[in-house]
Amino acid sequence: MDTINKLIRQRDRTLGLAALSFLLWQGAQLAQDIVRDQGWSGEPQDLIIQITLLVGAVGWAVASFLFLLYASKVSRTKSQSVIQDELFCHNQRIAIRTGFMVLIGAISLLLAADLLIDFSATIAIRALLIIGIFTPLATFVLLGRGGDGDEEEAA
Amino acid sequence: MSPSALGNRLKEMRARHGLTQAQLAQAVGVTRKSINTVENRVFIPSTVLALKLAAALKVSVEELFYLDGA
Repeated sequence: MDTINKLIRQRDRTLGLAALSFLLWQGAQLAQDIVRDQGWSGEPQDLIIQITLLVGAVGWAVASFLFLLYASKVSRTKSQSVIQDELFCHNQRIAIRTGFMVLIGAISLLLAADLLIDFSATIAIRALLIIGIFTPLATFVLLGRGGDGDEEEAA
Repeated sequence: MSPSALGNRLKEMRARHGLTQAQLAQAVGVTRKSINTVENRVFIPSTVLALKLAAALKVSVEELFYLDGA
């Protein structure tokens, strides 16, 4: 059971890293698109964007590698059915539903913003991509933090 | 149904059998986190899991779970 707990911790940390690094990576890419679109390019902002983009991309690559390691450990220990138990499925459903609702909200906001500001489709699509991937990942990680209370020993 | 509407005596029954959350989780094939969230009324288990928990603790489901205010 200790192996299971370690694997769950590893999964949650990997997903947390994936969510954060994807936000940094694609967020920086979005910032770059906006800066270019609006003609705001300049020395300090370009450098900050490039560094953030690099950190995010490396983080995403590391998270992907860690996830492969995790998947191989789960397969080796044959613990998939325990790890993907009812609570996992419940949290996964909530995370996907939350992602969907936030995505619909973001699409509505972008449609409204389109009436006021002129922006390219690339910016809108990238913003939706970030929201669509970050929200469910972050929600799942946050939900997984519940139930981490200390082990209740038998009386 | 709100998780707070379903009460349980999981902690009490588990203690009676001298089981830790981890041991009970292993017995029914879920994670310790699941047992913890059921015990703390954060998560409502399915009928299957409720039956498995009752069987592992050698009690009926009605002894283990109850509706608040019922």
